[in-house]
Amino acid sequence: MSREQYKELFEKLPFQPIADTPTVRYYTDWRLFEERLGIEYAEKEDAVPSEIESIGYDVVLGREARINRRVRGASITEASYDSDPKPLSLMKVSNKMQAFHAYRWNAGIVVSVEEGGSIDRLSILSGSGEGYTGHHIVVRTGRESKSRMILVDYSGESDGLKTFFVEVDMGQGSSLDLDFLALHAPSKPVYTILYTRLGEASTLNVRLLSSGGMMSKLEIATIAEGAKSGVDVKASDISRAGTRSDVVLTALHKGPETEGNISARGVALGDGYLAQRALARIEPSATWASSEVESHVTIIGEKARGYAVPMLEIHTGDVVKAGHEASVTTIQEDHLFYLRSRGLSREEIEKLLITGTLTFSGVIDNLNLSPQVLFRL
Amino acid sequence: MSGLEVRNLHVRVAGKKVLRGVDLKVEYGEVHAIMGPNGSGKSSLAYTIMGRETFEVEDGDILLDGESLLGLSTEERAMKGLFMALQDPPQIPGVRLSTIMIAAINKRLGSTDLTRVRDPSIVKRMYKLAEELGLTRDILQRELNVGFSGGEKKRSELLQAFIVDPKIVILDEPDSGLDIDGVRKVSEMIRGLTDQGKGVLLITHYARMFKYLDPDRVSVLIDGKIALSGGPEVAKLVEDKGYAYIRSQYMARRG
Repeated sequence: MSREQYKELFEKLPFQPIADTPTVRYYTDWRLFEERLGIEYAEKEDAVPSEIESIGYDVVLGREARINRRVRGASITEASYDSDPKPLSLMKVSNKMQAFHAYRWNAGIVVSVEEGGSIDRLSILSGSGEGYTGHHIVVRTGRESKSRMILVDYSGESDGLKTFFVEVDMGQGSSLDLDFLALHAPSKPVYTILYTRLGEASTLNVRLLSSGGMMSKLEIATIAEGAKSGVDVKASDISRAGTRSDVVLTALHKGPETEGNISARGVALGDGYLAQRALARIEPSATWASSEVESHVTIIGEKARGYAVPMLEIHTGDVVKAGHEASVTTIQEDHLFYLRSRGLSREEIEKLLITGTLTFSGVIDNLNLSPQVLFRL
Repeated sequence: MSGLEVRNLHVRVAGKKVLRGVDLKVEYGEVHAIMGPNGSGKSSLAYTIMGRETFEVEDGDILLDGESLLGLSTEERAMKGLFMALQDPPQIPGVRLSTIMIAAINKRLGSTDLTRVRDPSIVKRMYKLAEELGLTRDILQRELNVGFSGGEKKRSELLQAFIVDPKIVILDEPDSGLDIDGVRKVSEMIRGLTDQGKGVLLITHYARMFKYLDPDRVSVLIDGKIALSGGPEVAKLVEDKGYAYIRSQYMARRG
């Protein structure tokens, strides 16, 4: 589709065709996006905190794509509407904000990992600016290739709007190990999508650490299409005071003998709002699949709100394993007593629970970050 | 007196009287076993000593090395040297077993950063003790009690008791849910605690642990009072005659 066709689609599509639940209606506050649809492209980029900068990046997406160095085993080129593969050829545009991104994104890259190639580390920073920023990444992993990538989705202090979409098409027998850090200041709404299609016997490991902003809509959708492909997603999500996050983690099983595991932990502080949804669907073609989803949200803060929504749909009678669990808890008296009996005060327990949630996914350790970086935004 | 002393303890929880004048002592290096039927007040005694807020002390005192603990919070009592291993510890998603142990140690070392490992030898010690207790190393990286089997929970509680290095360890039914090998192993580890000079208040329904562990003192708690107290022969009497017999003897003595 051309940019103009996406614009037409944008005008036709709703923000969300169906309400999430009769009680909550919409976990994402789309009004905050709607208010900013007319803003101009960002002229000035937001400064990135030194701790995030120090991760070091091969590619920086800002007003334009800056490819800082070549990476052995892969080609990295600037993306356009005619790139090969074409942006948005994997995922189908299905709502107004996706169509908005499709016709307005301003910088992107295409990463092609060679067949049998190996990438030790490819790190990409997606920044933001005052105004609209839209970034698009397309990744194609060749057969039997191995890749390790770091994606940092940073949204800074200036007013604006950001969309950041990543499409990954995984070749047969390839593997991708991804640390995904989404840090959003409370000054602009952000819509982030990681959409991955897995080929036969490919494996995807995603570790996510997210700290929401004014309104962060974050979707990680994995489509296990090839037989014997496997997905493991571990997520740590935090909503600080004055922030709102709607995190949706999806494992769709299409191929036979596919495996999926989604484990998410979240914490809502102050008057923060966190909806953490972990969804798995096993289609009729996905015989002998196994899938587990779990989501646990802790509420710390009298005005904080949290939702943990697990959903498991099974459309075949031949399943190896399928399970889901979820909880939303405040700090219960028995938990508090137990931890206090180890010598810890309530304040120390709260800090431990927050740190524990943040370190759960492994991103903090892998990127050698301090949990405090999330609170300095 | 050195060790733990409970004097004439009267306790109420949610309006119900659960302890009616309990006296007992736990000296360092000894195991004092508290036995009793369901609902006799054994766990209430443990929670009250540890300062759980829902247990209201109406009368009496709890002393550690002669100093009253009443008025101190649970965490303050822990820092004074009490440790309680719960019968069924709660699952706490988001906090690893190693994290809580490191935090507890750091707190005792006076560190303000509770999460950073100050002394790598502590981690080595954790692994060594975990292996001695029959736990796999990976349990340290698992979330606290989440998905732990009954045996893993018991062993994890004991592991924490060794790492935190308290003066008095209160064990609430450490044998429940364990197979015979587990009971033997846990019994050996409890003796290991007293060998280190710690006092152990061991709460149990059954005398089966005493095949592997000779208690120094045994008290039987019935209806919130100590009905009988003595040496290992008391445990033998419980096993042979049952709690109903001890209750009837106690009632007869009281007239």
